[in-house]
Amino acid sequence: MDLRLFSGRSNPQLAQGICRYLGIEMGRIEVSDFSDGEIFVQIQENIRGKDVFLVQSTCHPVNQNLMELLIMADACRRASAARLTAVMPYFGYGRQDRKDRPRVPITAKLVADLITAAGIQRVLAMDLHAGQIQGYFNIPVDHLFAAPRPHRLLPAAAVSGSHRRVARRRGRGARARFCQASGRGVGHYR
Amino acid sequence: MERARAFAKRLGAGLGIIDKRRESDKKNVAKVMHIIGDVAGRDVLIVDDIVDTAGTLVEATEALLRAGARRVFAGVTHPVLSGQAMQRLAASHLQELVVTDTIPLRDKAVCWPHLRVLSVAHLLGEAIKRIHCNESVSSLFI
Repeated sequence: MDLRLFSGRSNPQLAQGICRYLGIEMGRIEVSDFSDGEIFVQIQENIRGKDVFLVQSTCHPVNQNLMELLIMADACRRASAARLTAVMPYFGYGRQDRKDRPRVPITAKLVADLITAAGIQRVLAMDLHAGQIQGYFNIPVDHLFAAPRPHRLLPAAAVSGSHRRVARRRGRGARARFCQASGRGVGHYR
Repeated sequence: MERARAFAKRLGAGLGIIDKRRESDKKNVAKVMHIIGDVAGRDVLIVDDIVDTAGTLVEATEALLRAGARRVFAGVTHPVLSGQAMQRLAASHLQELVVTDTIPLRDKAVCWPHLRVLSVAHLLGEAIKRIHCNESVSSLFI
């Protein structure tokens, strides 16, 4: 089964970086807007029987990026992709994860239902605001942490002194993680 | 909390907690109440999953400095950075904020030179490769 990766319009640069790591070409897809604001998608290659990954962060504009992912998924499902995985580096609406006040929605659960209904069979997410969001899906969710090897990922400036302290914001979803500062610009974990 | 403890242990650092109370009627408004743990004379790293309006982060930074912290750094995975976030950060005493590219910064990065971006492309790529080959993803973190 071949692997194919397609990017929505939310974070094409990251999708390009993933393709470079995998040593594959980015999948050819047309994603455009009609003048009335509707989104149009066409997969421009044969994906029948392929293992398809859709990369889309549901960041600002959240609703547009979410809908775009759903439409891309529908196109892939109808094009007979063998398996459809949504790669969601940032999972929007993740903070609306419980009824913390009366008469409010649990939008993270609604988004999980929409994603599943669109035909996505698997989700790859990173640092979900609440780990329990995995349970909002009835499909497999792989949950990554942005700092897999924290001892190698600290800013040089911060570890130079002997007095260090990790402060953790106490609140829902807050959890400790840290990243590497490797000079200016974009660095990589390895 | 469990995870924070694991981090502090692996870093050989002490663990502090910022007890934050949110004012219930205001959606994005954070209020830092107090710091649990001794930060006087130390470098402090604040770790979190999302930085949105940066209200929490900036208030936490100022609270830590008031409590005698030497320098304050922060590492946050998802740079939502909406509303007045960049202006708030620019006016803060935060030494450095490290974020990832799960959300593109577009033109925000130019507002404040102490913002660093690390790419998670390799990590996601490796996870995709493992999913595709039916290999373990969780073992990435062991």
